[in-house]
Amino acid sequence: MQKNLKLKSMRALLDLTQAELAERVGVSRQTINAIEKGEYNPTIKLCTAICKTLGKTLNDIFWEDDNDEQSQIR
Amino acid sequence: MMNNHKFDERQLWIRGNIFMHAFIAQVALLLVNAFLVDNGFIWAERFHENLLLLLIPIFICSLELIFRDVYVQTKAQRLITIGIFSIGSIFGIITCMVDYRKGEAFITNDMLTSNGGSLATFLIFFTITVCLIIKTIKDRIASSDE
Repeated sequence: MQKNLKLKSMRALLDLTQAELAERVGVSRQTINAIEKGEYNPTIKLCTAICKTLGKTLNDIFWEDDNDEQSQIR
Repeated sequence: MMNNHKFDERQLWIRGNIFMHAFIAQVALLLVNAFLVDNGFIWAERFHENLLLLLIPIFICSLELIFRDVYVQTKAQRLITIGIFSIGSIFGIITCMVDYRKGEAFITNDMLTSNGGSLATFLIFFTITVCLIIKTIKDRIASSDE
């Protein structure tokens, strides 16, 4: 599974740590870490909660397009 | 860290997988034990044989839960578990040792005695406690590094 660099960058933009985001969303820090690393595929419910917390849409954070895949391969 | 006092979806998924491992281990142990008993090899007294057959999968399951960080939800629960398990297991081990010194052996005729079975039971809980303490220390070091 691909790394979710969008989530990582959006979180960094708001100056939030993984632990802070996890607390706001109501999950463990390890879960946020696993999502960012691409080790865990969250449910739509959790995706929505993360998007609401970060003030972004699902497309902004979780939509994968071809450009992302190519940039990760490089 | 977590203040919702509930496991999140990823943790529940991990716990489900771990419980499945425990179930498979339980079935495997029952089959092995049935095979041994069928061939006339009795390795423990009846009560402790059944108790250990139950406890070994719980032991495997507990270690996996601890090291995958889904054993207990809060730090308070972790401390309570450590407290109860350590006091109980150390007291039990000491009791077994006292009985051993009084002449109750742990193994006779290639078979776990009642005292030996009790010692094995308490050692299982003691090992779970030690693992929980190690994981707690490891987590503290990791959080202080962040």
